[in-house]
Amino acid sequence: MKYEDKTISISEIDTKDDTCNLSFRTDPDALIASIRAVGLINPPVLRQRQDLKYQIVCGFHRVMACKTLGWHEIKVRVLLGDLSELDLLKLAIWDNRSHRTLNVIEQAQGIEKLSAHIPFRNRLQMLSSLLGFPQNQKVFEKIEALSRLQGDIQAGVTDEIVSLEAAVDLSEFSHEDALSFFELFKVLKLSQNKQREVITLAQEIAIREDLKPGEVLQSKELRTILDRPELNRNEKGSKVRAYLKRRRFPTLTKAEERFSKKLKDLKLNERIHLTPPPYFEGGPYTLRMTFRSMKDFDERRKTLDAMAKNPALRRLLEPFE
Amino acid sequence: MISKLYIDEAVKDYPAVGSVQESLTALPVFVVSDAVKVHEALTAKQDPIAAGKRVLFLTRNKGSFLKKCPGTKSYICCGYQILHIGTYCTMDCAYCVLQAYFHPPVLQYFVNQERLFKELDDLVRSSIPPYHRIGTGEFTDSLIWEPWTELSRTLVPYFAQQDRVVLELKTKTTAVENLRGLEHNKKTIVAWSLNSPAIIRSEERGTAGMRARLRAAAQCEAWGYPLAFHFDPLILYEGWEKDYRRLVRELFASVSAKNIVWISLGSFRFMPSLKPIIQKRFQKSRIIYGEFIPGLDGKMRYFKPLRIELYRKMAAWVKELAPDVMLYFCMEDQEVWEKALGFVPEDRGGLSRMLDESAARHCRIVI
Repeated sequence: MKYEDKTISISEIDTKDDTCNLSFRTDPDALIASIRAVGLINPPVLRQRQDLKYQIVCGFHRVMACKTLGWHEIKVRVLLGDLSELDLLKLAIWDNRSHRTLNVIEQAQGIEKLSAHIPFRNRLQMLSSLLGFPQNQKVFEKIEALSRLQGDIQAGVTDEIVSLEAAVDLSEFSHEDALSFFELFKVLKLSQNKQREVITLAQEIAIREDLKPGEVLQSKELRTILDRPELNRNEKGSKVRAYLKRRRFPTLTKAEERFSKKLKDLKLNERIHLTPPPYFEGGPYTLRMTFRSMKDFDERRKTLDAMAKNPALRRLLEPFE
Repeated sequence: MISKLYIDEAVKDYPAVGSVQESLTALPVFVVSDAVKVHEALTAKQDPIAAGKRVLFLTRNKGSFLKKCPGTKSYICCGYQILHIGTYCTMDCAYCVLQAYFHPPVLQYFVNQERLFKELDDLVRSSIPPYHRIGTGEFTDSLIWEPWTELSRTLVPYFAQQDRVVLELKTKTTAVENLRGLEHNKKTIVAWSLNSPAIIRSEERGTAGMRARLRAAAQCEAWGYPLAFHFDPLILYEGWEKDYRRLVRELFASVSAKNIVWISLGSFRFMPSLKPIIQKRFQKSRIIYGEFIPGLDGKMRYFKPLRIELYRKMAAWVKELAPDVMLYFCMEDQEVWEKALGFVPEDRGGLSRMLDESAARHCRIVI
């Protein structure tokens, strides 16, 4: 590529033309401080458009920093010759990648901007090598999905409020519904698996009850949990998940609650634990007992004898009655 | 509708290939060196699962034609044997396991039938292992092949000549015309999967309607064939009780209970890998959003008390109109049997034995 170094007026640059801008939420203060201290070390790369205005190809933040510092003129490198949009985008990407790794949102934006210029059959190979993600169709689809999210949620991904996998799930929802989840995750700070669990539960409740997922999240019961000042974040998260599970699986939850109630009737102590088969589907019940000495063992045995004679045990083994 | 015919080079001179080609003359034909070529063509499609229904691949079965039905130890299995004539289906049911079972699923028909009959010869001559029930409707629908093949016309008379094994042809079609006039000697059971009109409309694309299936069943009954019915998958939805009760009534208004060899009940269950497929391919389907839990075999099943309630009601409706009919559950455990039917198969010699005995009564086989 050929360039011409020149000094131009900043007002000749169309700073709103973000065709080649991939940077997502970088910190401008450090750059402003650096330029104030030592000046502009690397001039931005621009292209002159047919309307004679300059389009930024590399160095958006440098131009904006100089503008913030009140500069009127700036040294730039102007690209010469007829270059395609694909060439310009590649240049912008390689310029960024020369000093840092692109984050997933920048990769998503890169996919969105570049896809139109790359033949379908070469897309995965070219985009993965250009944007720096593994050459894997599933990874590609996940990153691509992030480009459909609103800016707030994209920022939530880079700020680790929303996990990548959960964000991919949210990309399938309407903006309104996705934002409802995002607002909830901001409050609860759930792990990736728990975020995905909440998304699945709320989505499936919405389908079962013919509602929008956002409406499920706005339900009175859920809002009441979030508004309880005595609960910390983890407790709220657990209660929200339990509420959603109860609403999604009402019969199963009732059986579990019934089992817990019947278990209390057995009056076991903390050294003897009785666990039902998973989902009461038919596997074995598990009885776990701990002891430290023969005396302990004898006591446990007496508890077990009493348990065997207790009619509550028979009732416990009929979880559906 | 089939739009392409692929022929495995290794079988291009088989007689069955010629007869399929004669009935599909308008189709473009591609002779391929192996199945990979067909798979590659399908996986390039936007919906390979749908694309696999629109091509027909004639090839040979490299494995065994007789296979044990893939039951698990955790649930009571009926001990069925599969006659593996081909794979996949032209109809498109949301819940169909074949969408997730084959990678990719492709409509393929095995033309090396000399080996199929060799295996059948060995089976009917031998009493070990003691299999008495064989069906073609496990990896495909038994009767979708009728327009292009002579399979039923060959299989039905074959089974008619022996008295050890019954053949069950299980279908959601009405393609019974080829069965007319065949010497069946009651050794072929024609069976239908039944569901309510609401489920057929929303979940079973391209299948025959409920009444059409029952009319076809009545026609087969008139031709002297023993019948069987499979209420599978039973699905819980708003209005299921009214719909399924009416379905049971319509069944017994259409055919006589005394000609029914067995009726199975199976609630909807699915491999977890099927869920995203249904979500993608059947976006309006609601069937996967019931109260499902992971079963002992890894498949998702309705939470047990829901299954028990469903089966109790279905069994009561069936028994009300046909008290003596052989009713059984497909892949359920002892607790479900006990609570829904009041006994466990073990007390009556085991499910396999119970079904064999019913086949012996209706089809005059020696067990």
